[in-house]
Amino acid sequence: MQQFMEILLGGLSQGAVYCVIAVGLSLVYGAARILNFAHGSLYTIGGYIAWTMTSGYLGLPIWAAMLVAIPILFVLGVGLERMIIRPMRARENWKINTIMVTLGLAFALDNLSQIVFGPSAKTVAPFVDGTIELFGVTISLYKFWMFWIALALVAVLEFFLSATRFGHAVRAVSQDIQGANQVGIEVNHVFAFTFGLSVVLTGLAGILLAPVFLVSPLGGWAPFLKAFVIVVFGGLGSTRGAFVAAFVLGLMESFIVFYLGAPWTMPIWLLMLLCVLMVRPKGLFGVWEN
Amino acid sequence: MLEVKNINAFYGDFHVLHDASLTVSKGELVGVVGANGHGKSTLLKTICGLMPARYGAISYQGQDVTRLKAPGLVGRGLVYVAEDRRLFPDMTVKENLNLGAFQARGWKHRARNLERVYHLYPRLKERQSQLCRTLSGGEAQMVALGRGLMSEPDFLAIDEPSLGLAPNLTATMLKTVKELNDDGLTILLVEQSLSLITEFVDRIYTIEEGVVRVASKDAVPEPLAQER
Amino acid sequence: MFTDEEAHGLLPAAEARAKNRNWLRWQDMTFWLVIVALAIIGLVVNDSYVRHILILVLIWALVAASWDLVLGYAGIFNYAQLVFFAVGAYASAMFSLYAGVPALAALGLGTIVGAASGLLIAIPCLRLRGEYVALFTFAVHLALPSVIQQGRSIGLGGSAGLLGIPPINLFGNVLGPMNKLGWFFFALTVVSVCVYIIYFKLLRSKLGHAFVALRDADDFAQSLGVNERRYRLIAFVISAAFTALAGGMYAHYTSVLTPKILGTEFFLMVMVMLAIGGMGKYPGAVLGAFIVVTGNELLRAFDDYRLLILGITVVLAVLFLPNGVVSLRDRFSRTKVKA
Repeated sequence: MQQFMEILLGGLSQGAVYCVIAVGLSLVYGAARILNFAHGSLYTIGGYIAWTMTSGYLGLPIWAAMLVAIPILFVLGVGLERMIIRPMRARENWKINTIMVTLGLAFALDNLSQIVFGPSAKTVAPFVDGTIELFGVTISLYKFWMFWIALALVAVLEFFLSATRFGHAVRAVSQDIQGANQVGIEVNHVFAFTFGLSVVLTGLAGILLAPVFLVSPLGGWAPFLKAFVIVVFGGLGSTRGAFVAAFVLGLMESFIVFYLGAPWTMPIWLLMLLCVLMVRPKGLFGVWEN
Repeated sequence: MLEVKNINAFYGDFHVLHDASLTVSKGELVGVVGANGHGKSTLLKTICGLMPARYGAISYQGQDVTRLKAPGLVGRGLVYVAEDRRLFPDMTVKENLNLGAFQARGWKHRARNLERVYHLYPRLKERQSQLCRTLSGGEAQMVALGRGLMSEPDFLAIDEPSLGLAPNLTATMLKTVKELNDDGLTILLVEQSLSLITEFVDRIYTIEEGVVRVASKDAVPEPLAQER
Repeated sequence: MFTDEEAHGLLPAAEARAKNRNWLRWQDMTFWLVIVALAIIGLVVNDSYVRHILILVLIWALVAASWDLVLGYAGIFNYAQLVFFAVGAYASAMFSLYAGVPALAALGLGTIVGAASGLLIAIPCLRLRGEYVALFTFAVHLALPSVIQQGRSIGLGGSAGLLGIPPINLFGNVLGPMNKLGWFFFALTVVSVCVYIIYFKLLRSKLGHAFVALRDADDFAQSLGVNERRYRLIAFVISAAFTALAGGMYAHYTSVLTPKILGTEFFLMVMVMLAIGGMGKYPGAVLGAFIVVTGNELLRAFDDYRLLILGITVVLAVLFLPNGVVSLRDRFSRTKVKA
């Protein structure tokens, strides 16, 4: 029972962070209709920003790293969208080109990271040490904080989407682009903003998980895969779906990995993807027909 | 107020509009009638900045707006209401209407404009928290039109508002359109059937195979007059 | 005003067809001329390294051509190409290592296993929309290295890989890694025949037209009776088979196999081949293979930056050369013929 609770709480905590990555991805797919294959590599960039700011060079506290990272990541996201993604839209086979170009970008970023930071994994010290007792189980205090921070991020995002004018514009664009044009929304601005936002979210997740998973050049592919499986399971375009799916799948991962071992992580997620695609490709709250 | 001169529009290589020209003066209610597939929607979409016009000029309130896209035109008071409504299905009636006032022009006064729309369409006030995907055809049309009014436009381009509506609802809707025009809103209305709109409009154009021609309300070629 | 003909760039139909036939014959001829030229080069240039590069070019050309078939022509967003390569390589290696099957036969068996893996992967993809296929196939690619690494107990060799893969024995000629000349002619023969089949037989046949129809005008093609599922299956299986063959050849040529073949380097290389060469148009992919393999060797001097450069090349190629180098040829041709 003790073990069960430990795994459960660990899974919840990780699920919360997966939520952050997945919700960003869901947002960008919903609004901009693109599959960003560089999403994992950008997660890694977040991790490296954290490392550079803290243990690596500057020795700043992690909250400072997060604050500094936000504008950097946002500008990076907007820049990428305008320079690399936007030119694709005008073309006929833009979907495949977007996949190709984001894949190329992903590898370029990975290798850039490797050149700058070296191939070995970097450790980032967690901002809190120690443990906490919950429901009779001892879990790391860091994971406890991580859970709440992640939830807070998602809550802020939800607030933005449901209560602000621009947030409504983002939702509008994900539901009907022509309609958005008709009411005078500058759709290109929304695309750029949402992409920037998704990079911020995935980068922050990278910062949050850096103490847990370490930071390495190829370390973004696992979160990438997980984020996508979550988004598909939750329903492409539904941030609420991504929220629920992140916890469900995060918990499942926690249990399965406990019994089979960490090296089986990727194949397990592949299997989960396969199941979702075979049983209900639309996902839990899918907004689009498949 | 609106002057369209010799515009051409293409879908890829397919030449849809051929040197289309029309004018609409301030305060008028002008109709464009044409069968399906002859370019009615393309005409409106091109005028309203949802599609690019090649070789031609569009001027609005004396300024050249040929290269302007929809958001720019909305800022100047020219709003398009689509035939397929294009509502945001997973947002409520109220959210959809408020988005009609998205731009700065209308955002400040959105509360007031919302009340105006509710006054025009009381049913929408009842349904204000309902998701638009659950609305009936008639209600969706109300939201579409209401949304178009939220930004206090000077010019409304309405694409086949009767599409999918039962005849009695169509009659009510057209009366509403006429009232809006009487209150000072300039309107360009596109429909399939002449007899439907002939009593409401000031002038008529026809569009056939992408070619726009001036027509008289009475002396219209047989096939068009008989469409119903 | 523009007339319809001027707008669409059409020539009178009969004239267009005649021009097309001549163009195809011209392509046939130049293909075999290039093969003969390559043969002569391989024979005359007595440099091990050059022959090594040519062998790699040939093997990767086959992979690129297969990927072009499924992605460029059939329009299926398949990103599991290297999975087929790995399956063919590992299957062939394992048959000859553990079952004592002669390498040449193992190559054939590997091809069949590869085709089967194509079938397996195709089945979930049958009723998925484009992007989902990309996601699923790429997920397979991401998950496979772990499976190989954990499969040490069943003979997959783990991260250390498989060593000492037996060389091919062709009528008494042992094609060991040092026998560059022998390998070169073997590869040249096999690959030229395969590429010929792919581009000149399969893709020009009714099958090829069905692929393109499904790629460009999905609903219309289906309304005409083109069975999308069947053709998707076929595309996957054929592509997988040829790629598996290339993988098997790679295994017996290098005699060492590690999960690295599913790593960034190879994936990136094949991507650049298609991005630079051009998809869906002969000889785009094959040309891309030449350019990338030789380029990759030239870049060995900058070893640290090599992969970074490749990644940037993909981005730049997709941005600025959307249809690959092949499209440049079209820009210089005077008449546009509708095929």
